[in-house]
Order: sequence, then C-alpha cells, then structure tokens
Amino acid sequence: MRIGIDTGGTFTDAVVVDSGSGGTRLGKGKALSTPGDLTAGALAAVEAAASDLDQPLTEVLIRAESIGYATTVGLNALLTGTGAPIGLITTAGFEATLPVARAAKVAGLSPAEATEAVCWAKPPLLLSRKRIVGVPERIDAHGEVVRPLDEAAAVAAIKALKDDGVISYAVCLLWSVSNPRHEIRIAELIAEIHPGAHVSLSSAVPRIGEYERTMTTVLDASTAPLVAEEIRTLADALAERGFAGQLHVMQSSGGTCAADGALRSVETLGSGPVAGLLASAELVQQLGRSEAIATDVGGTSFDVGLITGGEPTMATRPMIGRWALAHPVVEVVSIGTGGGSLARIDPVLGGLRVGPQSAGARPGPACYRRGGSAPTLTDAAVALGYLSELGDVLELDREAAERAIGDGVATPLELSVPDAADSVIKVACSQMADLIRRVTVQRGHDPAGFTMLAYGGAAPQYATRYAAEVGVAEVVVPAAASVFSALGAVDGKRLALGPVALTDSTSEPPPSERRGAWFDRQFTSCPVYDGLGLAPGTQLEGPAFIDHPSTTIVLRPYDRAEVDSQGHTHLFPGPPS
Amino acid sequence: MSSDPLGPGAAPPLDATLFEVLRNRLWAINDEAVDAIVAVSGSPIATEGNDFNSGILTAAGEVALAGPYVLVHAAALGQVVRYVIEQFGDDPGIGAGDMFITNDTYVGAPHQPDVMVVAPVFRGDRLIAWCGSCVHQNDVGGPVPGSITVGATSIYEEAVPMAPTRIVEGGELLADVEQEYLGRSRTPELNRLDLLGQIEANRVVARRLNGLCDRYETDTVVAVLGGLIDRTEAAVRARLESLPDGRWRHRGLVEHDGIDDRVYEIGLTMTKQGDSLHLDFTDASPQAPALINTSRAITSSYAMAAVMTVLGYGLPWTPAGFWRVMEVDTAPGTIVDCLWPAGMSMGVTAAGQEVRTAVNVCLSRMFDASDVPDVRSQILASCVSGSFTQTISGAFDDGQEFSAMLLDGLPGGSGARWGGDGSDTGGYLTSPAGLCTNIETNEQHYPVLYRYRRERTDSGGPGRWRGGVGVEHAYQLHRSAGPATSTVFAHGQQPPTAAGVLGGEPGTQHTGIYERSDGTIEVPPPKQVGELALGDVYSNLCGGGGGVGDPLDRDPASVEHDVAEGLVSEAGAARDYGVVVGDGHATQALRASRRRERIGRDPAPPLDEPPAGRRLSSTVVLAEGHYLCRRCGHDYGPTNEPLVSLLTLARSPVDERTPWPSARPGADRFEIRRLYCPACAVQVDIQVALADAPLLETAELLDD
Repeated sequence: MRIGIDTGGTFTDAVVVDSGSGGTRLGKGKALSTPGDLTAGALAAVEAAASDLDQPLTEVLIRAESIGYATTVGLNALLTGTGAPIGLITTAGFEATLPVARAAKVAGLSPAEATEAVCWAKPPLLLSRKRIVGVPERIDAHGEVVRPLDEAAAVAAIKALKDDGVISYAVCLLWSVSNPRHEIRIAELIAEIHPGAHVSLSSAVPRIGEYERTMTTVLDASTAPLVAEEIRTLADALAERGFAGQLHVMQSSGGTCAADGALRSVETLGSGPVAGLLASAELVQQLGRSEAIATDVGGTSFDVGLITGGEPTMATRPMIGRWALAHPVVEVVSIGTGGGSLARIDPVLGGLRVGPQSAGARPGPACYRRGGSAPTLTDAAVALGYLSELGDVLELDREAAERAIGDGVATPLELSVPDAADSVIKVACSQMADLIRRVTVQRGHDPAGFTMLAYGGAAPQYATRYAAEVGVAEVVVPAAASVFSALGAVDGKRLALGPVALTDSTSEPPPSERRGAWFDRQFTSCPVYDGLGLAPGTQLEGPAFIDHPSTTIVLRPYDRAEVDSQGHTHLFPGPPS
Repeated sequence: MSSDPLGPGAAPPLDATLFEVLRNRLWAINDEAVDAIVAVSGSPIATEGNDFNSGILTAAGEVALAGPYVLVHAAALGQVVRYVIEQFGDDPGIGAGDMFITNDTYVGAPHQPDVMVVAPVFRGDRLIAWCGSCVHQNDVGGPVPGSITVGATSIYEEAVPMAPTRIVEGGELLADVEQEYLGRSRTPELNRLDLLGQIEANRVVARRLNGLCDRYETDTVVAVLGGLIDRTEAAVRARLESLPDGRWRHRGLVEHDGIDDRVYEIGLTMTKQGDSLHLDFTDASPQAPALINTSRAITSSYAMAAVMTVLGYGLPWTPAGFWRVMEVDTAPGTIVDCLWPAGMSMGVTAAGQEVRTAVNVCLSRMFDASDVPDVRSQILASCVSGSFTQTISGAFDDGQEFSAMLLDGLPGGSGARWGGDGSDTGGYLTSPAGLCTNIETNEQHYPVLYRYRRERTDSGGPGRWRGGVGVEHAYQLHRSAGPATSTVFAHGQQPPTAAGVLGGEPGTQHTGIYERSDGTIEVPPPKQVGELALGDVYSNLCGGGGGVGDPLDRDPASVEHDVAEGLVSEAGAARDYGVVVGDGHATQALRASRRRERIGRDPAPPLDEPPAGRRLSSTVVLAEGHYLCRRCGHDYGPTNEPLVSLLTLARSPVDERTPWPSARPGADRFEIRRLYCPACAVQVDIQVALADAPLLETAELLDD
C-alpha cells in the first residue's frame, strides 16, 4: 500500500494505492489545508482517502510501505516573508550580487505592474544587507585559487551572524562550481562555531552564474528549517499512528528525496504541480503514448506542462515567484486564468478581460454565496448550466451567477446573460489555448500531434473547448483527476500503477438526470451521467455532462467521450466553439 | 478599408470578446517571434542583456504592439517601415515574402549596431500588416571592433550604415545582399545567426497572422490591429485632457564629443494643451561631428519611449497610440536632429538619454501640477543617464582574440517616485527588461578577473524619496596575452545628469578610473580610447537615480535604515539629509540650521493647510496673480515675473557629493543651482547648468 499527499494553499489531497490480490484500488481524499499545521490537513486527507477504501486511517498507515509528500510550506513562507533568519557568506567584494539581481526590475511582475514604471522593483531581498558578509578569498574561472580563504575573516563573519540571531547560513562564493574547496571549509567552520545551524552551499547547484546560484542557495537556507520541521512533525505524527515505511519528499526536478536524507528544501518549492506532471507521464506511458500536454485549471491559474519522449520537459529559465533558480526544474507554465478569475470590461480597449485578478477562495465567485458579487469564470459556467455543485462540498447558486454576469458583463456589453457568460468562457479558453500554443510551438512542436490530459478541479469543464482551439484530437481526463498531483507524489518516482479497479463501478450507464444548459446559443436539455457509474467502453455524445465527485466533464455538442478499462475518460473534441 | 479578396467585403463588427481573443493572440504571436530570435541569436548582448525588441505593425506602419525589451527599438520599427513604404511602395513595389534590412540611423535604427529586419505581411495580394525586429549586433564594421568609434569626425569614420535594403525577396534570402551585409562585420557568423533568427521571426508572424485570417475574417484581424491603436490613442488623449495645461522645461547636458571636451545642450519645452502634447527640442546645440548625435528619427523614438513609460501608466502599451498624440519639433543640424554626414554610433546613450530624461522630468512636473493624488503618485525622477560603457579588445594568453562590450554600466540607479525610493541598481527606464551579466559569465568569456560588484554608497539622488543607488565594478586583466584596448564612453561625468524633481537632488555623476600597476590614478575623459595593461585595475562607478522632494523632508528613520543597509554613509546622512544617526534631537537641530543656512534667517513655520489657489507644483500655488508657497503661504511675488527670479538662489560646484568630477579640468564650467522659498526655505527646484547659462523657468501654467 502506498500513499501520496499534495498540500496546496487551500486543499490537501491524498491518495491511497492499494495493490491487493483483487487488483489495484485507489482511494481518494481531500481536506482543507490547515494554516500553521499542515500535518493536520495531511492526516485528514489521508483519512478521507482511507475511508474511500472503507479503511480506518491507522490501518492504512500501518500497511503503507511508503508515503510521497509534496509540500508547500517553503513557498508559503517565502511569499509571506516568514522564512528563517538567515545569513549569506560570499566572496568579499560581491556582497551586492543579490541586491543587484542583475538589474532585473520587471521579471515576474504581472502584466499590469510591468506597464507601470512606479511599480518596478527588484525581487524581495529575503534578508537585510547587514546579514550579507564578504570573506576574502577568490577562485578563478579555471577553478584555481587566486586568493586563499581568509579563515580568520570567515570565523569572524560566522560569529557576527550567529550573534545577530541567524539560524541558517547560505554560502555562495564565486566559481565554487569549479572548485568548492572554500565553501566546504566555511561549512566546516560553521559546524564548529554554530553546531546545529543549517548550512546551504551554492556548490550543490552546478551552474555558472553567481546571481541565480546565490538566489537559489538563499532560498534554500531560508526555507530549510521550516521544511525540515514540517517533515519532522509529519514523520512523527505518522510514526505515532503506526507508519513504519519510507517517507519521501517530492522535488521540483521530478525526483524525490528520502525525508531523512540530504533534502534541499529549495527543491521542494513548486513540487506539487510537478507531481501532477509525473502522474501525467506515468499515465501517458500506460496509454502507450509519449507526447502529451498536461493541463490543470485551478482556482486562480491555468498550468501547462509538456511531456515529450515520455518525459516531462525541464524549464530553460526556472523561476519561483519572482526569484530566479539555478537548478533544473520540471517546467510548469502558468497564467492567471482559473475558475476564480474575474471578468471585467477593459476601461480603455473595451475588450472583455478575464483574469489575472481573481476572486480567490474568499469571497470567491458570486455563485459560492460567500459575499462575492463580481463575475468570474466559474460564474459563467454556472450561469450556462454546466455546473450545479462543487463536489459534495458546495451548492452553487445559479441566480447569483447570472446576476453577477448580468451586471458585470452582459449589461455593459449589451448582450444576453447566456451570451455574456459564453463570451467569458471564450476569452478564458482562448487565453488557455494561447498558452498551450506557446508551450508547444516555442519548442517546435505541433500541438495537433499531442494527447492532452486535463486534471485539477476545473480543467474537465473547459478541456474540449481549448483542445479544439489548438487542434488536439484527444483529451484524457484521468480517473484520479481531482487528486492527480497527490497520485504523482506516490512513491515520488514513476510507479507502475497497474490496473486500477474503480471502487464503485456498475455495468449500466444510467443518465442520472437532465440539466438545461446553453450550447450553440440556446438552452438544451442535456443528460447528466454519474461518472463513477460508467462502465468501461461506455460511449457518450455531447451535449452531456459527466459528474464526478469533485469535477464535472462538459461535453459540448459534437464532443464525444469514451470510458476506458482504467476508468479514464477519453474526450474527442468536436470543432472549435 | 479596402475589400478583402479572400473574405466578405464589409468589415464585420468588432465585438468585445473577439477583440480580446485576437489581442491575446497577437501578443502570443509576437512572443513567438521573440522566441525565434532568442533561440538562434549569436549575440550575448541580445540574449543576456535583452538588447532587442520585436513588434507587429499595421499595414500603414504604425506599431500596434511590441515587447517590453528596448522600447526605443519599438518606436524605431515604425519609422523604418514607413520609410520603406514611402521609398519602395510604388517603385519597385513591395511583395509577399519580401524583407528589408537596415541599420541606418538616419532612417530610424537607434545606432549602427542595432540591425532591423522588417517584413510586410500579405493575405493573398492584400497587405494587412508589417512586422519586424531590432537586435544589437556585436559588430557591424567600421574602423574599430564593436563599431563605436570614439574620435570619428563624421559617419564615414564610423560603421557606414546600410540603408533599408531588400534582403529577402519573395521568400528567398538574397545571397548577394546577405554577403554585402555580413561582409562588413568582424563577427559575420554571429550576425548571420541573428539575421536568420530575425527572418524566421518575421515568417512566424506572417504565418500566424494568416492563420488568424483563416479562422476569423481578414478585416477583423486588420480591425483589431487598428483598434488597438485607435482605442489607446483615445485613452491617451483623454488622460492628457484631464491633466493641467502648461509648459515645462528641462535642459540636458552632454559633455565631450569624442574629439573635444565641448558641452552640448539639449533643451526641451514641453507644452500640454487640451489633448495634445508638444515636445519642442529646437533649443539644442549644433550637431557634433559624430558619435553623440541623434537623428530626428531617434530623438522621436526616444521621446515616444519616455512618454509611453511615464504617461502611459495603466494604459495599454500600444506604441502608435502614444506616437499619434505627440508632436516633436527639432531643428535640423542640431545634436538631436543631425544631418549627413554627422555620425551617431553612440548617440543612443548620449543625446538619446538626455531626450528621455528631459521628457521624463517634464511629464513628472506636469503630474506635480495635478490636483489628483493618483496622478501625483506617478511622479518619477530620472534614472541614471549616460553611465560609463566600455568595450575592450585584446587576446587571451593562448593568443585567441576577444572583443566585448561590458554591460557594467547598466545597473545605475532608477529614479525615485512620489511615495517611494528608486530601485537600487535598477537600470534604465526605457529598457524595462534590460539585464546586466553575471560576473562569472564575463570571466568565463573574457580574460578578466573582477575585484568587486557593489552598491555605490551615497550615489542615489537625495530627496524626500531617494533615487536608487548605482552599481560599481572593478576588474583587471587575467590570463590575458598582453594589454587590452579599452574604449570608454559616457557623459554625466562632470554635470550630474539623473535629474531629481520637486526639489529632489540629482543622482551622483559616474566615472571610470584606471589604477595603474604603479599605483597612479588616471581618470579618463568621458570618451577615450585607452589601454588597460596587465596589473591595471579599471573601476566603473555608476551614477544613481534622481530624488523626489526636499531631502530635509525625508523621514529620518528611512535615512537611518539606508545607513544600516550601507546605501547612505553616516557622513552622507548628515550632509545630504541633515540626519545625525541615532540622535533625533541632533537631527532636528541640524535640519533647522540647514534651513537657516539656505535663506540666511529663521525659516517661517509651515501652515496646517496649503493656501487656496491653482496648483503649480507641490511647493507653489497661483492665487490672484501671485505665487504663494504651498508650505508656508509666503507670497513670492506677481506671476508676471519668472518664478525663478523670486526664489532664493544658491550656487554650488558639481563636486560637492563626489570628488571625481574635478579629477579632470573643466568641472567649473558647470554649477548646481538650488532654489528655495525665501521664507520657509523649502527646496523648490534644482537645476544643473553651464555656469554662464540663465536660470530655467521649469514650470508654468497656461490659462484654463
């Protein structure tokens, strides 16, 4: 039995893979992430996944050989400025590497900020210049020592930083990639002077270019204590409940690290979406394909990753937030178009804009009835009848959605509410298609030769629409679409999932109800199928809806769907809308 | 609009949804063109420094969109395309698959190393758009490596530019023209890669635009390109309409023309009336022989880039939407409108930068006259202007030759804004995405070893909000076969050029310094072909950005924070801000005595509320034909006299905050003039000028 956990900002997802005698069974669970106590959310999610297999939490933990964990604690700390107090030791004379940041003042800014000169600023510095200390030493591009390390100065630097309250050290010297000797010696000195303090060395990142290497090392030092603490807390909590297997931590490179191994916390940043891509690569292989576009529509963003030759592609200029990274990272490209993206009329150009501003989880879309009144992409889908509930957790208020779309879009554009809602979806899907084109075409790929995967809460609602736009012939919605990143985190590495038996399958495909929904400029009564009740080989034609516990697949007229033996739903998009 | 041979005759209505879908597609297409260039570019300046740009234009040659890279390139694309249309449109005609190459500075190329390749986009036999790009090349020929000739007496002694020439005809690269272009360069292989990248980028745009026309109506695609410009223009006009009518002035200085250490002045009078913006640059010195001039085309491009970045906050950056509202006047034969055979191989970092600074400063002064706080929050002082650029050439110890332009002068300070400090080492305003290289990258490619890269203490222009500090570098040759030729190029070594606004101080001057192996210090003039010997150290001290507001009004806590971070020295805190670190009472006393020194008496107390009247600036209102101090209410005098004549004037030498300007003769040609309210001593304005030049009336309102 193996477990995967993906902690996100809002939800923690978990899967339990039970490869028993009767085939492999998959339990899926979701829980709210608990700020400040991510372990609680993780345990709750695993418990939910266990109960999906009708098992108690402890039973599952006792039987589990391994747990793969994708954490967001490091990234949250960086974004909220709550990283550890750190010191940076560098080559004397180059203390300004980080503040100069290669003069990058717009990298990573939103398009709106990038076109407002008074908003331009360097990426947040993460530490005061007082805690950047230069030590005399110098190695040249050939790795030769031009100036030996001044150990007395290094000792003084460490003591000064220690006295200033530093608990974690980043050490980045010029050309340590060619010769790490001085960095290693400084690490030894820190261990002597400040035993127990964390040390991140830049020579662990084999890349020429001191800015990106320093940034990465500082990110590592700044997140390491928190990530280590979180892993320790989780490991203890799991052990307490009987878990005796291996705990692995997901990395953004696509690999994993044993929790008690030489974990570099910077490599955990952004690993959740990467886990989704690993699961995608695995699924693609099972399907006998090698080229795929993985797409994930969340609440605030649309993420795209590419799988070529069966492997996820790596980023050429990796970044996390506004910070440049120097280590290899699986590429996940994002734009701010998601279910919560706000729709508004551009006051200057008059165009209908969707995103990147988002209603977030609070107040959220108007249809959530949590105080939001501004129209969002999800409100458009609800107004058109595509969605009526969000899993089992939330009933969606169609009237509120219609009102929001009406006031915010239909009235100013002099359109009917359904036309306005359809326009919002059209703009959002065209932005998603633009990003897909960019990710594929940029590398010389024609998206038409790719299979598309659609996972994450909202992707199956829009997938055939953006797939048709870029000429993709087949979209696969994985059986575990709603917890796909957690699935990728299982064991961290590629796992042979084997055939997954659905927990609740029946042989008859009964259209459980009918829903009035807007397609081709009119409301049509459309069949709604219970996704869990569809037998392998079932073929459906749009317009129709396939409801899963936490996602809904939208079939437009002329879209077709077929359920395979693994429970994955294959969609064959009709022409572009 | 002509009818579409491939589509229905009438233009379909342009609805909001389609407009947005196509607008996004156009941006994605331009991004794809950029990717095509970067993927093959052989120019490290282009790929590491982002010294390039790419854009999509209307059939008439108006720039509908361009990347965030070098904005001057974006404006230049329009000028080149319109020249091509005018010159070749009828005879011999322009056909599908044609492309034109040029680095002609008289047509629009910012300087000769900037090579532009533009192409028409046809739909069948209908011209629907243009596209093109500009990429900085390592070398385009001429007497010296890098193609920037210090000491040239005319353009014949620089790289002689290539006028727009058809290099691709009907889709075929013309081998003879390609040879003519590449044969000029010392780096033909690298230039060829860029050329192929630029050609491919244009092909991508043509293909994708045709794909859009397949999917939507051709007329719709054309209408979106035009609509972007029309709608942006309308918004820019509406914004101008909402701003005060008036006239604002600035005078920039460029010292040394590569031959003589003469001073060239660039005066701007910016008049804003209703929805029009008139930029009058006719008050400029006669042209220099070469090197530092800009053509009228480049001056206009620079002015547009500055208008778009400063006035265009929150608006779509559609270059032509701004271009249309601007009226630029220049006088032929001046440094900003030079005539053949004047050279301009580095005019882009000389006259061009002063054009940008002048526009930036005048727009900020206009914002300062506005009663709307949101407008005033966009006030921005000038960024670094004219910092030291250097090319070095020589050989590695294994004999392999090298030649390089170092980007160490790029991270100067950015200007302060109303409500916030300038970005430290943030670089230039009009190259938002410009980057400097890593030290390790330079040391990997060239035989150099750096001593330091650091933030230059006290270089940011003091102000209520401080200008960003500049960077400073020092390096020596390392594993080099022998001495290297070192060519330096700058202005603003003696007069500070990064202007402050609203009484904010300018950023400090920059300089290069040779420390010879025998310990001698040599400060080169701002243009020099020199030598860097083994054992010599060359330092590049880069200027800071301008400040905003009176430095004595800066929150002492902010000054103390800057001191703690090493951005301001303790001495600088006292000298520039009147702050005694760690002693609030001493700070109060020092500031009071500073104010007394300014006006020679005890200053009047500030009012609780500024006096009523028509706002001229943060320190002056107009009421009943008199200027009143907004701070203390003092009546300066009648408005029929120049305001500057009614203020208390103090003159200072230009080396008061850094000794380097007087390391060479001639610093006494310039002075800094500070203008105070005679009653409360608030610093109203600062002007940097030739010592014998009259005071400049920098702000006046026009009748409502």
